[in-house]
Amino acid sequence: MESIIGLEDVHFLYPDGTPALKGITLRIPHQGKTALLGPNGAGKTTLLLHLNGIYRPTRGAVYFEGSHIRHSRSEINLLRRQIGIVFQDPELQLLGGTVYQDLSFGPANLNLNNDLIHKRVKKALELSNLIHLADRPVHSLSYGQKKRVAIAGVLAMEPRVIALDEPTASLDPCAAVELMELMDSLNAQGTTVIISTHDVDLAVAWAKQLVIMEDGRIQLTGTAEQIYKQKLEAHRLNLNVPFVVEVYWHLIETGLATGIEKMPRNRKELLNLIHKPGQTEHLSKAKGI
Amino acid sequence: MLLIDRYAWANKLRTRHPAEKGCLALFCLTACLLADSAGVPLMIMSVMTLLVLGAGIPLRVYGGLLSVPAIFLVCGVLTIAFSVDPPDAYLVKLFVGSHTIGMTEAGFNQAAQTFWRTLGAVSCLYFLVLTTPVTDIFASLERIPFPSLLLEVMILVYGSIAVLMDSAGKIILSQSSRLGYNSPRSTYRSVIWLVTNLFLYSLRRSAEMHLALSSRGYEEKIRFVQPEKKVTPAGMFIAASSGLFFIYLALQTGVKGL
Repeated sequence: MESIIGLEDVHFLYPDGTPALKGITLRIPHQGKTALLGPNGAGKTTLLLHLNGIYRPTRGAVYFEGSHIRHSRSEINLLRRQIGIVFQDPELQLLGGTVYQDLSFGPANLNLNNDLIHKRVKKALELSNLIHLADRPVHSLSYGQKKRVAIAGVLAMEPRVIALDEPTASLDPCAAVELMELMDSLNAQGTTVIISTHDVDLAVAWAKQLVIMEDGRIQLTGTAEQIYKQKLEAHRLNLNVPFVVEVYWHLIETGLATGIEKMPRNRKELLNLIHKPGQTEHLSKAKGI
Repeated sequence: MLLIDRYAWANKLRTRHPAEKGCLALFCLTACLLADSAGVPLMIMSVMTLLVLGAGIPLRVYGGLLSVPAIFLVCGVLTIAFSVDPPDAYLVKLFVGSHTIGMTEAGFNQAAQTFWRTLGAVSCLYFLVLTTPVTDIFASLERIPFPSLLLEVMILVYGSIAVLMDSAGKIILSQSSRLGYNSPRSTYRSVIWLVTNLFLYSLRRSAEMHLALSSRGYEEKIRFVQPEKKVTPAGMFIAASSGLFFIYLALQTGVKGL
């Protein structure tokens, strides 16, 4: 698959000298769904902030659509137009004023004319289901609503890549599902979506490409099937294993399910495996019952 | 502050164009400052009070807000009312050693005038801030030649006050749940901790906010747009004409300093 962003042996030291990234090489597939997975402090956020030029690698290179980003002012401007980042804490990202005013901030920075700004804002309000809150002051909203405004603020800039840092943290399950559905629909329209998360179940269910990070390095990259194919290997690497994969392994080991080639990625796929009547018959015969 | 904000967002005059309300408030404010009598300011104050109450703001709240500047005012005008050894006759007097301190009729009148003129002006401002959300005022200020740097600072401050208060509230709650305010000694310690933490938090937050806003394309200027509100000709006419009427009245009854 063609990649839109590339990182080549990226190292990053914090000003106090603490290494945060220790040689990251990564391709983000164009129009893909990528999840950065790892514990707190693995360097996920730091990596995201390299994507739109907020952090500059201490060593190594960042590429956007094949061209090397040298962090000139114009290049950084271009990057920030194309790559939108949604921060974990929505309050940091919100400017204040009404929801409508806040959403217009990004498009106004793109130097669009007012008609186009209004159009963008209205579209973002609709997409994020915020029309009824357009006239409310941002600071009076609930956490979940603020999160939606922060995301809508990025959507209004119509970036080609949208990167979300811990998008579902502190959201209730319902809101989290809605958010990921919104990301899916954007992805279907051609936006490249990247999330960072420590929720392994979410990452496996949602992402096409998983990037497992630990201590400033990339441990593994691949699809869920590739990463969790070998139980022993996964245990050896001390990976955090998603619930559905664990059940899947158990089904195979205990012989409760055989001949399943495709690894389930979410609960629904897992339940489908168990409930298929044909398969149960097949199993009964195999066991000679 | 937050009480005013809450009513500004939910009152019956909220949807009127800010220019209408701003025009009325500014004209009446000018009339109050020009007036050389208590009459015009008193009239303006009653109009503003009727408007504020009509907008659905409880008398208790409005009265409470008005009493804050009123208390300061009383202290201020007392020094105008009383004078030492004046040539005029006293209404009230007090002997202090070889001097006489007292209130003359002229002093009393001047104090009363100052009191009502100031309170009238304050009522105009309260009318504006109680019926108009700050964000509407920002949007209006953006249209007139107003220093954009000042406007941006206002926007950021307004957006951050709520966050700062919220953080302070959370810290106080967590301190109290660990018995942080149980004795004068622990209260003293807790307050130091609170202030230090809020300061550090604000510093960190401002740096992070700069990053986050940069991600949204912020460079030097905060720009935003909002849906246009329609100025109703009738509303604008009523606001402007009643404002001008009060100014005329103030000029008729004598202008301060002329």
